[in-house]
Amino acid sequence: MPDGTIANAITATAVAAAGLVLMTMQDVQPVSSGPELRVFLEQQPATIADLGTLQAKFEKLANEWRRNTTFSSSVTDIVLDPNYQQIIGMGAVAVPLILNELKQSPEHWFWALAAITGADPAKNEPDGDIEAAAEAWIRWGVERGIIR
Amino acid sequence: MPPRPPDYRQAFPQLTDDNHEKKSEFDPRYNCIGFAAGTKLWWWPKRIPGMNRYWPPGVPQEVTIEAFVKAFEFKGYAVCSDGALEEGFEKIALFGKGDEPKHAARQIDKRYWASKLGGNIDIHHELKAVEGDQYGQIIRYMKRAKPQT
Repeated sequence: MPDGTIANAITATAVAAAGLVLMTMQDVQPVSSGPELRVFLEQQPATIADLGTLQAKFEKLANEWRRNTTFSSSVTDIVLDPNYQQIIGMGAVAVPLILNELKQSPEHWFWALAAITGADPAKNEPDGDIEAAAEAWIRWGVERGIIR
Repeated sequence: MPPRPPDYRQAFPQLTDDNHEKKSEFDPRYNCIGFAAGTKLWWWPKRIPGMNRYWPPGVPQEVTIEAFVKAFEFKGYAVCSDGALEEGFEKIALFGKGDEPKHAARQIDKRYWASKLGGNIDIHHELKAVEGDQYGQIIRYMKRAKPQT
């Protein structure tokens, strides 16, 4: 992948993450678009500059999480894994990364997404249908510009 | 694609070339409990934020052997004494550590049982070959009459 493409992808992820933060703030106070987003980017230089590092951190944690929990049917065991908890601790910046994982494979990212965002877009999906829940979360992310 | 987890043979060291067959690729859409119950759903007694898990109505929402026995009773199973093949019946085996259920398998024939390994692959295996650190020991057997075809 050309460097420019990587930079564009990272920028898109940064904007999406920032957008999510602004979106989650909408319940607290009304926000418009451009100026607030720019202010957010300016106030979070470490976060934005380190997005490549954050992506690497996320992938490492996600791989360790799979390694530890892939043979478990217990959702409790799956979400209490320390790597999963660290991903939740990454906060809003992890959301586009998680949603892109969900696009690849409908794994148990729902608890993390709900914990970080407070949203529940899969609440009307059929019981036990992980694929439907994943599709609902992906639609939610696309509609908000968090992922494409 | 996300990186695949480690080979299942590392997690279940009692599985050998001679006592099991891999039957599917990685598929995280359903778990062992749903699979043993004949579905491709994720069964779990506790509410899962962000998605709707399946659990039979009226069954205690507890991660206990008793609650899992009741979940399979909802599907027509009753506790029985062993895993011997019985004409006209199908059986499941519940695995656990103490009172904590960890796995369920359903009988295929005299030799093999079918298991979904968590959110990973399906295998056919000799029953005790998946006992160990991951799933503990067999705690209960249950059976029901095979549905009329």
